Amino acid sequence: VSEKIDDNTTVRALLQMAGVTPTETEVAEFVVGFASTRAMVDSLYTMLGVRYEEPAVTFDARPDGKSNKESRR
Amino acid sequence: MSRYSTISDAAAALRAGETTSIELASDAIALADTYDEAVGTFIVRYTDRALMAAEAADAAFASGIDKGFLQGIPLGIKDIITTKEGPSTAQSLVLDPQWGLDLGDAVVVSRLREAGALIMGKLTTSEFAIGTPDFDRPFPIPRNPWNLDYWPGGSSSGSGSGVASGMVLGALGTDTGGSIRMPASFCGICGLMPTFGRVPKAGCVPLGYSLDHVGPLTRTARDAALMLSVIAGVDASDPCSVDLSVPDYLGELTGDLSALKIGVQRLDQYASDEDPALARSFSDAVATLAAAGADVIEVQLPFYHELTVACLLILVAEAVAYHMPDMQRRWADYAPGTRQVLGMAFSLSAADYVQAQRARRVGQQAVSALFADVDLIVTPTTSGVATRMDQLDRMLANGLRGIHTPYWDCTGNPAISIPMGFGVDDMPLGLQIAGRAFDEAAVLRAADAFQQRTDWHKCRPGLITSP
Repeated sequence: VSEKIDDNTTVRALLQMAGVTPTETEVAEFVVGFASTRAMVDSLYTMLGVRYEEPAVTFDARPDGKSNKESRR
Repeated sequence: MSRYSTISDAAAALRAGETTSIELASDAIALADTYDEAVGTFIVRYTDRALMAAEAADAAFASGIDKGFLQGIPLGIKDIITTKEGPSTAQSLVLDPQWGLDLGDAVVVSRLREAGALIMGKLTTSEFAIGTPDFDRPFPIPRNPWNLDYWPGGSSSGSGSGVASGMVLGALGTDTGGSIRMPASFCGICGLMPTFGRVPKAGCVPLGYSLDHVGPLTRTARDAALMLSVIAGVDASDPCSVDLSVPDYLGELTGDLSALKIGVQRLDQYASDEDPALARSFSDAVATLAAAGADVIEVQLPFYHELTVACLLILVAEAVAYHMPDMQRRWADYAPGTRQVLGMAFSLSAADYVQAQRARRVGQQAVSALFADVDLIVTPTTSGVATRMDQLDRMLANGLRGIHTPYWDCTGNPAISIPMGFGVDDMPLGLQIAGRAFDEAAVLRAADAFQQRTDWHKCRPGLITSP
């Protein structure tokens, strides 16, 4: 894992893992955008105050019938 | 334009006996007959059923039955929200035509209908409320009624163009990263994103589960208050729906801002291509709010970059979770713009998604702290006018830079866009006003006070003339 893998190889692997089949033009666009996307993501790991914060997702263990799977399939 | 361009004026005229619901519907239909092909507002029109509803509304008035200000008013529904008249397409080849048919009306549509509104049809959207217009798909191409060479914004494109052109007096849209406020800004109308959880989203095709908001697009803040009064309130079908009482929004429209402290930031450092007229328009708008009595101070939005990024990442991750099976089987059936935006999700890990939600919590708390000092925060909605149709690819490539809406989707605070002037090619510019969570009343009060002192919301696209 210490070997540097280029963005082209990484993006193609990620797309293959996802099981999607973009065109070669689209793959090229994803490769171009990959570094900036990762930079955006990385900025969220260094955000001030985020280290010990809880995520803004909640789960209530009490089943109260509030599921909208039928209305937002 | 129709004889009455606002819900409030039409509602008053109905009660004064100066018009009928049939006349209002007929005006709207005539405008759609004339302009819809060029503007691309409707996916489908429910003309016959709307006229039947108009007859019923008039009969109700004649019988002394008055369900409120929306009775007999022509409205439109973005085509990712279900209506009982027929299927929703989400403007996509991918959505199962059977989707939502058994649901009938979405909760919000049901509430509008019970209030006596006329559902004129389903309005155009970007595919699944993401992406950009696609000329190769069998759907209308939404254009801006102020200038057909421009996009009306998205994803609530038809909601924006329909209200701006008078084909409907109000519309429902959805906002996950700005899809109500952007078209409102680009089309010179009013668009309100309520607080996350204020309006139930059941019956709406999901884009970002933790970001989706349903809200009104109208000509005025007063009309937005009218529509919000009807669609707001808890419903068990939406787990995100919050059980809080719905205030008397109309009663808050006093025109007086003397008790309010407003923070302002132009956000020009986040715009690569600010419209030359924006600085002056924004300055004048802030002066107008001050003239209404508000105490105005400069502020800095905390974590602007991080919250905008978090919104985008959360949006694409949640959207791809919904779309993955179809994206694997039917990639080519999605529009290129949709594929381009959602494809970003394949560069994210599960940990990245959780981290974005952690960043969101930090940002939410920082914004809450800022709202301890001010009652409202005002920025431009976007730093420029609508995008030209031939430059939509460039807009996506720029990562929506200069679009100042996703920040508030991420924090969940209510935010409105109202017209504040004109920029390049005489296209509209929008003013964004955000408030504390569940304080739509203050947001609407400030927007209405602004509109009591300005005429920007009364300007009409020159292309559209009376039926």
